[in-house]
Amino acid sequence: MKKILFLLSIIVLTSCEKSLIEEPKSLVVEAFFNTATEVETATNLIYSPLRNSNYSVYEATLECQSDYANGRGSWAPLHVFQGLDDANITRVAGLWNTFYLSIRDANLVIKNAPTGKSISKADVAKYVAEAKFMRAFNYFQLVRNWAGVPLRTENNMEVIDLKRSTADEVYALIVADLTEAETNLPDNPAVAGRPTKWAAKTMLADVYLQLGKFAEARDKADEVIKSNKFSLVPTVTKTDFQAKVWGPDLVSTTEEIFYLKYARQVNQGNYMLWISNHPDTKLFNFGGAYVIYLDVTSTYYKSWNSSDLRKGLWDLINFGLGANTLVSSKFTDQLAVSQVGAGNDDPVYGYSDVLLIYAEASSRAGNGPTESGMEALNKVHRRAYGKAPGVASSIDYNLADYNAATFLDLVLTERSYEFQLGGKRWLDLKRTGKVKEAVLAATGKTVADKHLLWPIPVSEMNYNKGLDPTKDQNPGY
Amino acid sequence: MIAGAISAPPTLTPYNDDGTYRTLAIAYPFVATDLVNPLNFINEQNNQTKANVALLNASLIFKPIESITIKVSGGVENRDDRTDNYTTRNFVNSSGSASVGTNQFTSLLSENTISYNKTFNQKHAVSAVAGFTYQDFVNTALSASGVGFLSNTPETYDLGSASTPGIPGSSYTKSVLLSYLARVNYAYNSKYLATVSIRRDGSSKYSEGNKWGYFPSAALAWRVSNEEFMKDNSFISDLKVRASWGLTGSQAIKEYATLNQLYSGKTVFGDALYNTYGPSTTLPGNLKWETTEQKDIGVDFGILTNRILLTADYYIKNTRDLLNNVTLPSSLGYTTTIKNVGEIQNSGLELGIDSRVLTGAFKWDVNANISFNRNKVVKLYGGQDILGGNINVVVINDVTNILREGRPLGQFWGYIEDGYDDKGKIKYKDTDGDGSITIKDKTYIGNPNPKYIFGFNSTMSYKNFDLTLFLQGVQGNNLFNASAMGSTIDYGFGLNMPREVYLNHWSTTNPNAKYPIISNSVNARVSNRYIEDGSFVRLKNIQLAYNFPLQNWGVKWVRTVQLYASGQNLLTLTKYSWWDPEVNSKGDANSTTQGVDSYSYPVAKTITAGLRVGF
Repeated sequence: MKKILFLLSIIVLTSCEKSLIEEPKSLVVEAFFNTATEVETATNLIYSPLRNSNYSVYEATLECQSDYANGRGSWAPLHVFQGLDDANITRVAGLWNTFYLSIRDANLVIKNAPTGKSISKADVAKYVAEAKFMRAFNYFQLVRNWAGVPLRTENNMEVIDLKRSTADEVYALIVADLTEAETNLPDNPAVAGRPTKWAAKTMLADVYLQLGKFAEARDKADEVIKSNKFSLVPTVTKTDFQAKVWGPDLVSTTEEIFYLKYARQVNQGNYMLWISNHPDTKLFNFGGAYVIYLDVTSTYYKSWNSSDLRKGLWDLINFGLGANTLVSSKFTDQLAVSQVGAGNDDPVYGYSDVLLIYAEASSRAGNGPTESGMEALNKVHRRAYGKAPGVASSIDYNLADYNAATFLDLVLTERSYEFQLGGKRWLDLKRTGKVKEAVLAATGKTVADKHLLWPIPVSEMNYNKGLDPTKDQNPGY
Repeated sequence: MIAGAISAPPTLTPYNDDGTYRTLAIAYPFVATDLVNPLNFINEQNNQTKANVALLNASLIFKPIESITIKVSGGVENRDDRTDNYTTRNFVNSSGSASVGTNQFTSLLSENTISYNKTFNQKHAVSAVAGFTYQDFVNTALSASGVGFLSNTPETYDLGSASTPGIPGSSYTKSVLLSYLARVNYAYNSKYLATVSIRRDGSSKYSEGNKWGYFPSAALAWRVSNEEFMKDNSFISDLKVRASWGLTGSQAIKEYATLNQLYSGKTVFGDALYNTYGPSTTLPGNLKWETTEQKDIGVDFGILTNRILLTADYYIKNTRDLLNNVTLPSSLGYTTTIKNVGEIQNSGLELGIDSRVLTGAFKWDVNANISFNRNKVVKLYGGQDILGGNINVVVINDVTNILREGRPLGQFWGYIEDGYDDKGKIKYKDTDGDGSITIKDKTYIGNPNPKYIFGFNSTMSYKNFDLTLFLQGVQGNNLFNASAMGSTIDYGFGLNMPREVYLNHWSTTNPNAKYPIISNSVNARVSNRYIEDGSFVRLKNIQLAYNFPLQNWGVKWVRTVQLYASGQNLLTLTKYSWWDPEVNSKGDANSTTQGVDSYSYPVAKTITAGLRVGF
């Protein structure tokens, strides 16, 4: 009897000790990344930090630094051009965190997918290519705003202290990632929003343009044009732009190349509508913060041809700074479900971008504008005037009227009209070396050198011993 | 809501002329657009939680022989709650939103002990206990939500009618604590007392191989007043000298903290939701028990037949393998991890007095205590400083404290201000003299640890009246007033500010003002500006009661009837400028971040009057 009791107690105790092994009802990293579906859901996560309102904040931050647009409230110091104030230092710190969180999620896929147990080599190549496309996308934002940054790849993603790489090293990784993406990404997206090889070629063209490799930029853009997969959506009125080009009901369009996708779901919608709209217009049913505004008396606005439908997307609204303020109605949704619940996609790269990259690069690769470059520009120009994009028109710009310098200005102005609220203008002015001159002409303000780069955030400097707070911080901070 | 109430421009009325709520966000071109009329929260939002709590215990006691007791006991603790949140269609920009969440918590406890109890020769009292216990903690939760309702009538009770149903959520966690324990008590003639015990605890929360910890302890006491030579002393009624040593373990971490868990989420492709899976921003660590070794000596002293009782204790506590959050560089993607970071020491003195001052018709009992605690960081693994206490407001995004070897726990860490420049902007001291202000210029700016804390209880009664009061105080500590940042230094949004900011800000005629120039771009940093003296004395409770003389009236069916009036927190003496010096916004008493006031909800002054009836 005693023996039995003793044995029984041993059994009870050992089964108890087993109860100390944790068995959560959730998945763990070690048992994941094995099937194509698992790798796909891990790849999907790369988009979340960007879509989660942050990329809209990023675009608005850049937009407020442009020569033509003003920032309101806490965004106003961006348009003073004397470096960032505390509120904006905090804001761009959030953007740094966003890009690096997305990079971590990409690195997880790049590192773990190749060792998956039941996934084909083709699927591994496809998802790794998608992750590398997104990693390059994030580094391209980082390097243009902070210059060199710590370069986190699948090989050092758990190393805490990491030195700052040079801008050249960052660009080398971007080009390598996009070159692999260009080869291994599919011809057509499985669903709108996933990058294709055409998206990779477009971004590569943009990167080459940034690096001054104009022939390469021209050729990559030309490959996308020659694929005949994309075309501009024709428009007749400004509401066509609001509904058929950037509308909340669209699933995709013929000009979509790489968009961040949004839907009318709580916290799954486009935050730019809240940032840009004014409550009085009732074009966004959750009001709006009217962060970005134009001045109706500015040379930029006055010199903008009134036949351009895009000009009509700025409404005169007196919100307290006088009668001359204009607020954007580019993105509208009256059936959004929450403040971050509007259905409009974010047109990060569209076909007009390819055409304008081609126009600029083809001119700068040679000695001036070419016929095909001018035609590419005119397609964007015609569509904005309600004309058929592919048909010559009386409003066309003529090749004979432009040299290399004036054509560059023409393209840059067209880009500023076409990509409003996209945050591209400030980066265009920086990359062409025109930023100080353009801002001085438009605003009378001198851009301080420290304003050209954003500060590395405290959340990095405090904890990364690989950085020297004196030497590695960007100038002026 | 509090932020809305404080920040709302006082120049505006709460309602428009037509009776609708005024939208504060578009009142002025500079106003923060997320500012919501606070009446919205009061009138148009409804949150409530209902909980059912059940406790059940049963035990079986078996005595095979007189001196041996076998006890098998089991307990169940259960809490089911449900939280309903509803925001009406009248809330600014709302089409009605509802959510319901439920939690089920269950804890099972099984205690199995065998004890032996015997006194030999009337002098040697021996008792011993051995046993094992099992306890588990299971939490499950379920939540659902929806936005867009036709009417406010259904509130949270028809989520299915939402035009956009939310994504449902559910979760499960479980942790287990196993213990083997043994304890022996020995007393000789009620004069010499000794206790030795050991326990072996296993926690599921720790890493494989580190789940078990051993925690022995021992205590000795000598009751001097029971010695022959004290028997005739009528002044000293009780005298006891104590000494003890022991180890204890802490498992103050969450379950699964050492596992590389993945979390699900949603993203959009096309126009549809797709699943995402990935780790959170907390990097799991390899963790073991945090262990505290405590040494204590003490004395209990009673005089005049214990009319005055004094106690004194001196202790030294060394905590090793301290569990603490460690912040990671944000380029890692992970923002924090938890680690066994090092060793800290607490030592101190506690004194108490308990006295029956008056014992006649007018009775007065007084109880007072005071304690002095000192702490310091003894060792950090790798000697690396650990920064903590993140502050994230619009104008400042930085840490407030540092763990550094040789310094007190929670040491405040920041810049030293150095007046204003000729434009009225705050200047900071370049403490390392390298010509620029970088994180290398941060230094020690304050200490959240009090020199001493004290409490005072008084109970007076005369005839049928009772008067009780309870005072509490803390002296010599600093607070970090992060609440003041948004309301006194951030001028970017044109929000309402304390009057003092208007009356005492920098100008060419007031170059040494308390606040810098009013400007939409400030250069605020974590600095000694926010360090304040946190000492206070507070009247926590005062109560006057009248007991009806039921015996005199011959009432038998009611035991007691008491009429009372009481007040809580009626009086606070402090130099602290904000609402409440008794704050700790970041973490509990065991956290390494102490004394930060970050938008804490102030304690309420309450006055209660009532009738207590006992049957």
